[in-house]
Amino acid sequence: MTPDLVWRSIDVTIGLSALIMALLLIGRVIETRRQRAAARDRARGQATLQAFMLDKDRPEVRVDLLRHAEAVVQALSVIRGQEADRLIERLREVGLIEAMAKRLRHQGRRPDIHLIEAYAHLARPEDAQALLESLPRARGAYRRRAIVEGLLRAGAEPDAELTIILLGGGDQITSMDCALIESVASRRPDEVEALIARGSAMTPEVCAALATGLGRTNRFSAIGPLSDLSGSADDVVAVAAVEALGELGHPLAGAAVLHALYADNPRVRLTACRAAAQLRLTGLIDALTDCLDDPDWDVRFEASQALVSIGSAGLTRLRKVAKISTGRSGDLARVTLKEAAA
Amino acid sequence: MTLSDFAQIVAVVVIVSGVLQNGSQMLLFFVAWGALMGPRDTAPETRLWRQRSLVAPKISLLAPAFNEEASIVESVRSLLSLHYPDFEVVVINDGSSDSTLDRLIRSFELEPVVRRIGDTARHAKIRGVYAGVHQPRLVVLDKVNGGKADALNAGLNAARGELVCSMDADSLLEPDALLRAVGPFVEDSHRVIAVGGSVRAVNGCKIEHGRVTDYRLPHHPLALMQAVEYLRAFLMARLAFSRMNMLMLISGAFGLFRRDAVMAVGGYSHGTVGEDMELVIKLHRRFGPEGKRITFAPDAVCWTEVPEDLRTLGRQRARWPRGCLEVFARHGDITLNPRYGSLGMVGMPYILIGDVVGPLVELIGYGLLVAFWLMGLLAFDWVLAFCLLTFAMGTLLSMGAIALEERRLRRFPTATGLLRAALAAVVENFGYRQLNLFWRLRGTLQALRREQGWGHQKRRGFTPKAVPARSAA
Repeated sequence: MTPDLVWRSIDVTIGLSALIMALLLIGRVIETRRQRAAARDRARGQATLQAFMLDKDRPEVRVDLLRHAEAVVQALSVIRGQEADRLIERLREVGLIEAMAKRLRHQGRRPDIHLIEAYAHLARPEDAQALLESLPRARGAYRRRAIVEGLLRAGAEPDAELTIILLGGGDQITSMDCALIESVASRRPDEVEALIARGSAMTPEVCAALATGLGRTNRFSAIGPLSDLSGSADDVVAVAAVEALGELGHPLAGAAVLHALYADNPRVRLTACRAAAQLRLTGLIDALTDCLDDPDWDVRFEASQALVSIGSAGLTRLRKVAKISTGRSGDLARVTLKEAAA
Repeated sequence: MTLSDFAQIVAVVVIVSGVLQNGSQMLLFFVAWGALMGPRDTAPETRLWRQRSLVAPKISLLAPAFNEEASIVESVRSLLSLHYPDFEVVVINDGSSDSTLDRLIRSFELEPVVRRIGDTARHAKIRGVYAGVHQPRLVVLDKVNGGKADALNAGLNAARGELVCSMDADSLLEPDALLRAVGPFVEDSHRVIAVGGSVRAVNGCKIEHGRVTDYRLPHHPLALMQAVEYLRAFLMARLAFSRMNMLMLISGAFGLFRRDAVMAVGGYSHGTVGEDMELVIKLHRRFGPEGKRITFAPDAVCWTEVPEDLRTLGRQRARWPRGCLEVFARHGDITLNPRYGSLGMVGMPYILIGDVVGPLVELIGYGLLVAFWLMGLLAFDWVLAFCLLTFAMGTLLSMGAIALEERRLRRFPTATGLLRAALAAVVENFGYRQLNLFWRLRGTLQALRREQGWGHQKRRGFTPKAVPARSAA
């Protein structure tokens, strides 16, 4: 006879399966109710906003505004132009923004992400900056990101060092965090240049984001720090710096790009080719011609592309290579010329 | 020891091995559940777009097509209308003998163009490259037939995106699938080199203009059971393996890879039916020791048609263990090699035991216990206990997978859909499960005999009239 244990296991397994199914059905009912509640909340936000537009002085309307702040802001987002501006001004007048700020302060280290978003949407830049930067170090990467996002959304200019602490302090920095750091860096170039010059301790990702941000500034003074970073041993930093040099588009960036065209790392060489295409300097033609023989196909491709971008001098060199070279650089030059002609 | 005692010992061994196999899958369920307990990436598409559009890298969608004249135009239209900031669609006509290429040229007003194509990944000769003025995102490569891996290699060489997405030309991606699949690259851009997406059965769903507009479970019982099976495979096993950084298979129907990483391992390998698994193992081998990660995005969904006839299904199922064994033949040295971490020590042995040895043991179990019972050596309750325990545990696992689906994706539109899926989880144990074991065993034998080829695959297509035939060299 089979042991009882086997039969008991069968009973337990069947029971568990039935339990899971029952829980799923109950969960489905709860979720449906939750969705309905969310829809009701949205509708209430719209109704509150309408009630406010009709009579802004009723005290219960103000209470409702704060209670459904997120829904109100959602409803507000579909109203555009001057009407929205007027409405926001009226919301400020009745003290909704102050009430939201008070609630955010009250929430301490766990501020509600949606409330931050709503507050940033409505507050004046200076108010947003004063409040969000003064929030005690919020817990969790999502909240910290929401604070910086809120600052940028409000049109404030967040402190670069604080941004780095907020976003770059965790174990893992995401591309979204890097994009925010880039935005802040492009608004605070002086501070970022000083940070790089000081050689402050930063992760490669943060450093790369700062370099990218500097690349968007169009500032001649950024060439120095970016040239330094382009020689970094870390390829993430070097790639970002070379890319930023290309973005700057200044002829003085050519020296660092030329150096990067002979880097050991193929990713750096590839980015340097792209930067050369943006700079369009005839002084880079020789180095780009060397890159046509690079072991990496993508580098060869980008080099040929850069020669086309440089213009007549680059095309002349391509024709010459197509004529005299029988190797892979010759093949590539011939196809590139055909493609350019097409 | 009498013969009866011997039969009882065999029965205990068979039951224990079954429990162990199901137990290990239960472990995967808990790991997957843990992974899904984290923050849910179910933000609405508008929010995702706002967060990711500025940082999302360019994607080249590689869609190999072989004799897909019935559905190719609709499939390509669906791909071109995906919601993603920067992407191109590279359709590779793999030497189709029907009018696949002509239909593409006529529908999208394509013209021959010159395009520089790399030489890193090996592929058969490209006869022509076509692009359209009205569809700047579409490129069509026309090449000599060489099979799916060969076509993908041609696409890899022609792609311009930082990421490449391998897929089947007859699969449908959800509009926000790319935006969701790119998530791990955006979150951890320096470590993630590949991301797999969920594949779901499209049979029974309502499709309009190449989009799934109404989620329904398949009406055909065979397809319904496969739908539940896909849930187990994708939401449980792959998610758990990904969590432990030992994901060994990214489905050929939908996977996103860093192009430079794939190029670094020479692209797809030829002469294997499991080229998707082989590529992932190559990536693990090359980049695993550097700390790179291959992960899974359950929210990125691709819909594919599953077979509704036993013949096609049998061929497909036989191919899986064949692919698995071929990978073992090439990369067997990873197994139990501590240099490859969890992949070598757990992943590879698990796949070998779970996909090749497990089915064999279960099938032998059925045979032996019934034979012993017929010979009068074993009481009937042993046979009953074995069958019931196997079925009950299988059902429990399926229920777990349905629970994961309900927690994460919620694609069953109604409670009736949930109940139908649950019913399929019970019914599949009576016949379908055993057939599956038989097909897998047949695949193992084919692999041992070194049989090649995918065989003919019958598909109905997404439009009612479409009956395309698809087979790869």
